[in-house]
Amino acid sequence: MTQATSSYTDDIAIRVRGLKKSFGSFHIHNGIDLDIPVGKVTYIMGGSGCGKSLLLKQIMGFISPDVGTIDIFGERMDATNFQKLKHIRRHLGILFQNGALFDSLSVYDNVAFSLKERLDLSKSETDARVESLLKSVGLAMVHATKAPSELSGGQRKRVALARAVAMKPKIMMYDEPTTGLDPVTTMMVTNLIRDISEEHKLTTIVISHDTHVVFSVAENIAFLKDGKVRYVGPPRGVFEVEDADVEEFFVLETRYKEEKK
Amino acid sequence: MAGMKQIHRRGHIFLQQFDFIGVQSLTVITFSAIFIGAVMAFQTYIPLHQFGMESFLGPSVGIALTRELAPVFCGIMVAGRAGAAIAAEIATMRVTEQIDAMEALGTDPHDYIMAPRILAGTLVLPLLCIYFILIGCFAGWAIGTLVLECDGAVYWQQLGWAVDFTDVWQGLAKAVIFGFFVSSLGCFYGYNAGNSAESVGVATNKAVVATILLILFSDYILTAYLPYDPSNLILH
Repeated sequence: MTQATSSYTDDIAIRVRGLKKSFGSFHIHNGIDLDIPVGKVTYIMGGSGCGKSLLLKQIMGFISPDVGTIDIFGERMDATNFQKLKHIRRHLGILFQNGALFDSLSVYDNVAFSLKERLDLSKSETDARVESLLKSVGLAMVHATKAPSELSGGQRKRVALARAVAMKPKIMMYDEPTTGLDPVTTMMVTNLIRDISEEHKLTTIVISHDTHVVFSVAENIAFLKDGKVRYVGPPRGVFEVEDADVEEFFVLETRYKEEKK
Repeated sequence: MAGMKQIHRRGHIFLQQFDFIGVQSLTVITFSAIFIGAVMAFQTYIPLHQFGMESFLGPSVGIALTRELAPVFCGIMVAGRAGAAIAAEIATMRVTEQIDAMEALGTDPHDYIMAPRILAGTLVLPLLCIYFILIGCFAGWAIGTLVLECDGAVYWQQLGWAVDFTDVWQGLAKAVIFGFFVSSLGCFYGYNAGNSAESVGVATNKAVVATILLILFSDYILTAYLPYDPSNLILH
């Protein structure tokens, strides 16, 4: 059913090797090699259009790479086999950029979606789990009957986060979680990512542009440029690496954000 | 037990879609049937009157509605109303990453989103078709007796004599197939929509145009090749 890789080690949650992806004449990924360590918060950063979100979609199995492999806890991702994907995705949770809440369902039904679909829980057990999940993201049960359209941007992301962690994934991924949010909500969502990661002992991957919050939350940074990983390592290491592109992105972005403040 | 719960959940979505595609189409189907039945009565009365065969008004209206007009118009009307809505809803789910989110949560969108809609569309269209035939025949009778001064009793007597099981079977068989086309093409174009807001409109447009063309094309094929007697399907 699943193929173990010979180079897999227990401290690697996701291993990406030689990933290439093109859309027509646009070569987005030109051979990405990346290891995501277990139990750490890894930020994947880079300029617009460098393929950060695409990498996340390939890890989730929504899009197949042209060339290359992705192993999750030693199991080979195969986007063409839904049953195998389903098996591997039990490890994965994802928070989409806009939450991607199901419009036709209430907040309760969104959070309870995978509990109802995949577990055989009673109504009272489901109620208790939903209440606990909403509480863990700072929302009260009073919101449970609301439709997603009645929530603010921050509340939608919190509900989506509660839904994503409902099945207790080992790896949680965030696709630009703070894009379009005000500074206060950005801080709240960032703290939530850190708290959820610590509370559930998750391997966390965050796709972000935001160099301001990265140094307070990230334990590991991967920087993408021209379809390749140009830097992987601890956040402070970006200032020591001799790469003009890395320096330009982090130094200029940080300076620009501080000037803006 | 978990399987029963899942059937119950899918059953709930099926009933929602049955209501949306079927019950909520009743208004548009009622008006379509009234006007089609009335026009049929007017149009067929003129040549029938020329030959002194006004008593064949009921059979003309009844057979035309049962074999042809009811299934085709039901298909087209439901494609415009429900097929378009299905395509737009699923395309919006695609654009807003709700389908990706569903897959990420371990649920197959084909099973959760599409199967209940396709099943509901396939089963509800024959029922709408029967309703269309009844309303259309009453509209033809109303025009025949109130405007064209035909004998109402003769209208029903001749209609009952002329329209038999084979006409009903052909009409309902077409309706089942058209219902499948309406719902499955709505799902197909919605599911395969692109990732932009524009793609919602494109998917909706494609779903409606493709469904109507496929209904008209398959209507010709079914009319030409569907056996007059359903038992021939088994014999062949």
